[in-house]
Amino acid sequence: MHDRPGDGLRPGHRGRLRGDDGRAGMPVDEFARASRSTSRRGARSSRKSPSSAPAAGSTRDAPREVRSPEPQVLDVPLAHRRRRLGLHRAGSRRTTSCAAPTSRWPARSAGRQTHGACRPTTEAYTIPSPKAQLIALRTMQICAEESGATDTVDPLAGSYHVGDAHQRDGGKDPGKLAAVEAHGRHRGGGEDRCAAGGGGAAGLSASSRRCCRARSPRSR
Amino acid sequence: MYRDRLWTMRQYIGFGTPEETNGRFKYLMAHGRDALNVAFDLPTQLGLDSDDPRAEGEVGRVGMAIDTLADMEAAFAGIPLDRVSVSLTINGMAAPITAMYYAVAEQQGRAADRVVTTPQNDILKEFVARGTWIYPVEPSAAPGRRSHRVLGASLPALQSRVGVRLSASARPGARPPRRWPTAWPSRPPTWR
Repeated sequence: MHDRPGDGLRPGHRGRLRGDDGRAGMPVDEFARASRSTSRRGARSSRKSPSSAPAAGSTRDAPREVRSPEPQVLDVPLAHRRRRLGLHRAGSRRTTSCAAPTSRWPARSAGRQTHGACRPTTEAYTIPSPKAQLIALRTMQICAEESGATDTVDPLAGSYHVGDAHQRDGGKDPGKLAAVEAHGRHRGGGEDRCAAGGGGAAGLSASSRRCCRARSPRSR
Repeated sequence: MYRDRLWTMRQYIGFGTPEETNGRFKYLMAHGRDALNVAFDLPTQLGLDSDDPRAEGEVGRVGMAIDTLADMEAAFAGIPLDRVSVSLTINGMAAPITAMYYAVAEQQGRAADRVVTTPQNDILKEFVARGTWIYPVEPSAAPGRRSHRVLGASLPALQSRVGVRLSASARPGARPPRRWPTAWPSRPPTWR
């Protein structure tokens, strides 16, 4: 179907793999960070400038140095190595404390990680802390063990019947499914929670509804 | 239904090095979780080594970095693979990662028919939604088909189905088909 690499489905992917500056499609925060790192390079060169600049009136150059708000990177090769190995995130406190990514290199190696705004965890932004994961697990366990839901024949109120019917004549009658769809259709836009809201995003908070709408698919 | 057996409580976990991920696996299993859903980092999903220049800044970022079988051993060290079910969330590299997983299980001395795993193995989703594909469609689909055939035949406990994530495809704009397939396959499809 698509013979050449990079043909068709996602133009530009190969180009980015080979490593342009990766700024196309970069999130705003990443872009700001990358721009700051450029200005940091500028600061480093300006640090050298007093030696080459005429000595007189060097106080005039001082404001240019304090302009950079970033701390100086003291050991560039080490920091570089640590970034490369992912140690700046993996071993540090940041990994477990829901920090924003600190990488100066955005997701260059892949096209993009899909950022569903409706997802509870988006691992490109952060990795859930042990506490957050434990809360999720405990929630499930309480639902299972303490709510009594699992003591009933049909805990999810109809799901078993629906699943059974689907297995018996799964989709053999398109008219029936069309009728179901006519009652309310999942309009895309992301994760199961959006779908669970029925036709639209009923039952979601206002902000979730907004993000579902914002995430609804481009009509291409 | 759930009176016999509870639903599987499975969380998507993986970060940094395999050792760190292993620690998190054990932490949650100590609190009563019986299934894992493994997150791999983007270089692993693309088949890049961690020291590849193109992997820079992404190693261990959205999942754990697996380069060699030794990494896989470290990730599942001390975890009884015949008593947990593991979902391997990887598509382009599904075949080698699944092979590594079974190699680790074999090393641990677990019976292959008790080792339950679900490789996601849905390469088409990568083209539609996520972008971690390696080769174009045709050559990408071939190892997926082959792994279905081989694994489905030789490993009965493997959930040898494409883990189609419709939600991931729906996000960038895929719609459900006008007419659904006449019947869902009740057994692993025979690809040719």
